Amino acid sequence: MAFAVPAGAPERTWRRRLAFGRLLPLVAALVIAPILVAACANNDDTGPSTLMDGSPANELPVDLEGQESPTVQTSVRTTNAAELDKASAVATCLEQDWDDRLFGPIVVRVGVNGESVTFRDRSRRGLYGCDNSEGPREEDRRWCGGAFGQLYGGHLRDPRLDMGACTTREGGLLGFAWIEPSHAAEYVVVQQSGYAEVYEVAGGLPVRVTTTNDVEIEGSHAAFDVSEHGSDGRLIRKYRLEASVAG
Amino acid sequence: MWPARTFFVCFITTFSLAAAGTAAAYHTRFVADNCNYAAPTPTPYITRDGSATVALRARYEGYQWAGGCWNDNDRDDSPNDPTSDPATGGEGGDCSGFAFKVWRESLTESDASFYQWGMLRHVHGPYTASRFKAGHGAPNITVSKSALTKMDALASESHIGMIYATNADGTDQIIEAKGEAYGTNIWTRTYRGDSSYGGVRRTGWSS
Repeated sequence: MAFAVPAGAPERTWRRRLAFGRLLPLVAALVIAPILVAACANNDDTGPSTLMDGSPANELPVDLEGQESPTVQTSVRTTNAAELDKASAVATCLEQDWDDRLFGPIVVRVGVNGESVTFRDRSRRGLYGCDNSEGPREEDRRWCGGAFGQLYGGHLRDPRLDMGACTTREGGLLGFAWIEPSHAAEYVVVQQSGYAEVYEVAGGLPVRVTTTNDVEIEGSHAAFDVSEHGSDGRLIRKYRLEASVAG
Repeated sequence: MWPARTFFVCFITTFSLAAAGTAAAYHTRFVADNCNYAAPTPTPYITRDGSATVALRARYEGYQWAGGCWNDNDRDDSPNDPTSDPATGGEGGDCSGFAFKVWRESLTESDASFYQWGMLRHVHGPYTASRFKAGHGAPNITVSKSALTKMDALASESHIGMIYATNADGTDQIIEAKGEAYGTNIWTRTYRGDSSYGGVRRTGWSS
C-alpha cells in the first residue's frame, strides 16, 4: 500500500506514520496469531473425533489413571466365521487361504489411522492378522498389510511388526503390532502425536495396535508407548514396546 | 602381608570373572562392532547366478532374528544367541532379511528396482516370510510351485528359503537362514511338496 505525503507536512512525522502503517499488519498478526494457536490447541485437546471408517469415536466410560493426553477410543467387534458376511472386508482377509484353518473369535478393530483383523488358526499355534490404512496400496488389495505369529505356549515371541506398506492418507508411515496385555488389563493405550488411542481387550486375543510415532523404515523398526489399564481405569503397567520386522 | 595377598587374589579373581562375563557377552556386539548403515548401490540389472553368489557369501554364517548383517569368514561369530530376540545384535540375517538382501530389494515397497546391499550393511527390510508368501511389495509375486526356478523362493507363513538347485527326486536344495541353531546354509528340503509353502518370485531378473 502506498502512502501519499501531503505537501508541507513535517517529513519526520509522516515517516513515523508511514512506519506505523507498515507495522500495523505485523502487530495485528502478533496479537491474533497466539489467539488462533490457542484456539487450535484447544481443539487438539479433544483428539480426533472420528475413526478411520468415518464413524464417531465413542466416549471412554472410565478415566484412565496417569493418562494426560486426550484419548480416542477405537472400535472393536468380535465375530466368528459362521456370522461373517462372505462379501465383507473381513472375509477378504480370511480368504487368503486361511479360512479353512480359522479357529475361535475374529476380532475386528478400527482406529484413527488403521484397522485390523486378528484370529487364531485351528492348530492354535498360529495367529493371523490383516492390516489396513487410508493410504494407497499395491494393486487393488483390500488390506495393505498383514502378519503371522507363531504361538509358543499360547504366546507370541515378538509383536510381529508390520510396516512399510500401510500409510496414512497423507503418506505418513504406520506400524502395526500385537500386544499381549497382562491378565487384568481391559484397556491398552497407545500414545500417538497429541492424543492416545484406547483399545479394549477382546476375544482373548492379542491386541493389534497402530502407531504413527517412531516408525523407522531404515531400521525396519517401530516403537509403541503403551500403558495397560484395568476395567476401572487403574494403571497396571506402562512401557515402551520396541518392535522389529522379523522372521 | 597375608591380608594384602588375600586382597590381591580376590582382586584378580573378581577382575577375571568380570572379564569373562564381558567376553561371554561379546558376541552380542557383532552388529555394533562390525556392521554399517551405508547406502545401497543401485544396480541396473540382476541375474539369478549373481544373486546365488550373493547368497553363498552368507553360507556358514550365523542367524539373527530381525538381522541382516554378516561377514564371510564361514563361521557364526555370535553362536547361541537367544532366539526371537532382535536386540542381541548377532551375526546373520533371518530368513526374510536374507531373502530381501539376496533379492536386492528396496526399503520402499513400491520400488521394484535393484539395490546392492553390502554384506556388513545392517538391514532387514520391510518383509516377513508371511508377506513374501502373499507376494507383497512391488518386486514380489506369487507363482505356481511347478514354475519355480533357481533363486525363486518357497515361503510359508513363518519361513522363506530360496532354491539353489533342484534335485532329480523333486526335492530342492534350499539356501536359507534357518535358525539360531543352524545358521545360514544349503539344505535339501521338501518345501515344494508341503502345502503350507507357496512359490514366490522376485521379478525383473535379466537371466
